[in-house]
Amino acid sequence: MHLYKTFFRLLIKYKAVILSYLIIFGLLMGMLTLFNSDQSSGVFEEANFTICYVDEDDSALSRGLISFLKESNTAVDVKDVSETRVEDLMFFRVYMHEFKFEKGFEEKVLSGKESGIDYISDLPSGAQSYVLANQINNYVNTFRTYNGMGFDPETSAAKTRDALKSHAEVVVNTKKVEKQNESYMILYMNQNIWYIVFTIMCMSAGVIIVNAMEENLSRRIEAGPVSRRKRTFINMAGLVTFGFVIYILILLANLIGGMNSSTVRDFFWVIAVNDLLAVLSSCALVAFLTSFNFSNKSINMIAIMVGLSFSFIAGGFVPQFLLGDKIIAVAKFIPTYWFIVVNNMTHSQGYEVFDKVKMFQCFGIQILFIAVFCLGTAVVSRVRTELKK
Amino acid sequence: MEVIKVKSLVKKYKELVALEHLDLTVNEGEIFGLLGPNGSGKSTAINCILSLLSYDKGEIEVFGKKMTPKAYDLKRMIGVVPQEVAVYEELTVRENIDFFCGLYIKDKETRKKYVDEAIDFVGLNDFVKFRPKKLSGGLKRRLNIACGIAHKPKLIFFDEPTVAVDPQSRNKILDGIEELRDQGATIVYTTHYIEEVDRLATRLAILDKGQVIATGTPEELKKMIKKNESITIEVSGLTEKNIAEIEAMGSVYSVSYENGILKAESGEGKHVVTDIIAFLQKEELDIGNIYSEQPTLNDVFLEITGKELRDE
Amino acid sequence: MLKYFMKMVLRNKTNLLWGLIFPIALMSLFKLTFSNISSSENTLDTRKIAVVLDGSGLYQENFKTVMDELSKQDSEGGLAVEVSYTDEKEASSGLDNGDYDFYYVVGDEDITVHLGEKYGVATGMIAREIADTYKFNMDIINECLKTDPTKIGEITESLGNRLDYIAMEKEEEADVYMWYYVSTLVMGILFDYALGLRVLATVRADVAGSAMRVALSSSSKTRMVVYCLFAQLVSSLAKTAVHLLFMQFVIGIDIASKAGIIAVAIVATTVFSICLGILLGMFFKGDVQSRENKTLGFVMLSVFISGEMIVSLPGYIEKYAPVINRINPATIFNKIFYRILLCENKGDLAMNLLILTIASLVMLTASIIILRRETYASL
Repeated sequence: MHLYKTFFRLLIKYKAVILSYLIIFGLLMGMLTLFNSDQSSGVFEEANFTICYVDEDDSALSRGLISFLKESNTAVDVKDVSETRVEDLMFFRVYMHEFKFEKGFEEKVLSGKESGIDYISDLPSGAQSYVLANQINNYVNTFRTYNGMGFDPETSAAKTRDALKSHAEVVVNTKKVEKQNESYMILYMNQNIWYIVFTIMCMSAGVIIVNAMEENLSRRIEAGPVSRRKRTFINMAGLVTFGFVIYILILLANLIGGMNSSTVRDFFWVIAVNDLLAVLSSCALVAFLTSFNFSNKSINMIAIMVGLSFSFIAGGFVPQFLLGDKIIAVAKFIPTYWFIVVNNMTHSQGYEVFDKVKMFQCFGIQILFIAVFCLGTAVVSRVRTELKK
Repeated sequence: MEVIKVKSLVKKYKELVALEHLDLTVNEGEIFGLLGPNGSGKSTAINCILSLLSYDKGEIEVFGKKMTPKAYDLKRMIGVVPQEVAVYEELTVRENIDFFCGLYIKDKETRKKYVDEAIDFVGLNDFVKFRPKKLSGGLKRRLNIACGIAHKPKLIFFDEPTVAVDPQSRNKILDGIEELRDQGATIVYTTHYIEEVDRLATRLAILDKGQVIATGTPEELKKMIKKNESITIEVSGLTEKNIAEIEAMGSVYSVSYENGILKAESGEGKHVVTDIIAFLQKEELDIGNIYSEQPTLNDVFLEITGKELRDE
Repeated sequence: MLKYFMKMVLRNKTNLLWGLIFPIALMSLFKLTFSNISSSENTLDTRKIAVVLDGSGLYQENFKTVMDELSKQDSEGGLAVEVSYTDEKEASSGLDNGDYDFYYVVGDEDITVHLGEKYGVATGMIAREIADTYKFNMDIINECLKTDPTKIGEITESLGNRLDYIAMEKEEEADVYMWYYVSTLVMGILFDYALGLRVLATVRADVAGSAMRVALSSSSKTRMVVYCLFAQLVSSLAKTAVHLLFMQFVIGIDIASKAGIIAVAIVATTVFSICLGILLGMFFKGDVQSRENKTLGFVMLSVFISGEMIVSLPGYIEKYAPVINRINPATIFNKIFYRILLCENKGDLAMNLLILTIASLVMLTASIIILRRETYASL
């Protein structure tokens, strides 16, 4: 009991590390939820681009065009803002596109002379630029057409606006039933649970285990009356207990954060079991890594590298459906991938249809990983003990 | 010649007075011991002398000149062996000694010769390519010493060099220090180990609460205290009357009897052990083992400061 | 002396791991995971379209003509498409399988866009834009027929001579995810704070024991500081050069054509980072390891705020608390490198570099003054 309690007394010393990661994680989740909660979920949602403009022409055409762009985008006048400042704002992605309408623009358009709109963007030939360019070209060409029909510029602008009002209908072909009240926060939180749990555990409990194996300290401990087996057992018990505490907190976060959401209501037990397996596989991996007797500096680096790599490759930071086939093929060899597959089933944005059989398969594979890591830990520890003798 | 002369040195850390009008002199060619419990100001005094620490009042002269941070000609003649092992983990034994020697000796040939001699001196010939991480505590201490003396300084400060060192290494270190003295170096030596000071020190000073409370040769200091002889006799059946009679003897000033052990302390004057034995024989008491000890520096320290050197 | 300082730097495994290997590993991860996305979402790669002509009227015929014209256009002219004509069942199943990016159902007077479940925002917008362009033109023609049929010839000719008022040159594509690579390069440079702490621990007696020997030696303090700083700087520049080579040859970002100005920026930012490490190391208390951890926390926070993980974070900060972007070293570094690598109009790049260089010199001077200090109030 004394050793077990001491484990946690030591763990408290790492509260700064644990809190830092939790804070960064919280911020990350908050931002991801904020930025991505408007993604498609069975209904077409129009993209809204942030653009800035300088209108030196101030004609019916330029005014009308700007007004038209404002209907489906966020457009800001930066006439009185310095060029350098606008560049800065473009760098910070406050604006993604800048348009400049030079003096005499309308005149040139109507007289058929060559005229261009100065356009600056981070994505000069990307899809966003295509869409914006098309919107502008549609407007200006239509304006020119109406003017050619004999309408004055003001009337042409009004008629153009009317003509471009009704859009083609867009339908999203989706098989699954549209879910109400899905929680993006729960999705993103659970998506990254594996990374956070593993990193926190490795950089706190993992370091404690590794420090105890440091030469001088381990000699002192081994000289004592507690057997090596018991010590190992207590370390692992401490690790798993810590994991369970984190697990309880995760469950509470799910319940509190997603209380009113269909995600938690419909899939609570799936989430509960899946997160438990994530915690256990993290524990097992930490145990496996610490059995190699790395130094505590090395274990910190390993925690960050393994945590980030696994999460990147398995679809923690980038959705699985956007990853290449080769990456997915590699990802199947890590437990994080299977954890995320199940998590994706709990939300329409995960693009994984809920399938009980597949879910249990994923659970089974995760349990297999846990067993493999535990076996690996035992083998490595045994080999190291034999070598020491 | 006075190698170090410290006059009225005062150093304060905010409200705490670390050194209070400290006066000290160290003569050329001697091993000067600095004794004192933790917090007495030994390290502070040394760091002030070395111009590493700023001080509030006082004068410090080394080799007859005022010691300042920019007194490079003086620094060239000084070597320091700090209490903590202060070497670079990334460099090997030879590289460490060469690096620190190189801070003083620019000429490559001379430096190589000095480094080889330093390695020989501390007995690290078999470990020159090792990094400090691979060395035992005792060997690290020897490396620590080599780095401080490689450039053949005339004045060397040893700050507790034998802490946590095995007996073999410790003996080697003490022999080495005596050898350095024989080669003409002046040594300032701080330690907690009385026996080391007893063995090495030509003169010593006892510090307590930032002041020198006694200074002199070990013999002079021992004569300063009341105790001249400490007697322990195993005897059974001693009565209160017997104890009172022993107490009344000559220069005996302290008698205790517990568990069959009689302990008596006598002050200056002739040895009383024979008188006590004669008395016990007269009383026909059974006498066992008999021990008689001269006062140690620990006794000196105890009497002067009222505490054991290692109590703090 | 310089030789030993170099050896100490090169033999320090922690610096090697964090400073050299970690950024390369992170860039590799970014490359692995983002390479597939950028090719599908943000470029104008060929879109595969199915068209279901629900009828054989003029509306459908004209749409077919438009799509045939569009499919002849190659990617150099803008959007390229591959069009297939089929029935709705096959179109729908093709959409699910990924054979098509989207499909149209063209009726007698309207057109419906069908997107897949996992459609990307850009694909959806492109699909609708194509349909809208056709719909608008047809609506204008129909309106003209109703209101003033005599003008139909003019209208049709005008609509047929559609002009491009934005010159869209398909230049060398800027990798949307360049931001992450630049951020990681900057993070690698900022990790040089550890080298600054190393300088501190080598020379300041109140930080490390071995520095006390240096302080007590007869060697000029300034010389020691300069040697130590130089050793750290050389190793840092070498490490950053490796990162740049990695970016050039593995990631595929063009560094070589701007090598000169990048070199200037690298030197200025590296000096800044090392000196930042010295100053922060002095500010924090404790042993060397503790100072290193605290400084690492500061650096990681700086990198996070600059948008390493969340690209749009600096944008939010710029809106609500722009002063943070002005003083955050990682953001300033990002801006400089981003401008060098991506912007045609260098704008105030020269000014930014000058400010950074001046700041670096000020910090370097302050560092040397701090490091040269001979006596301490306490140790």
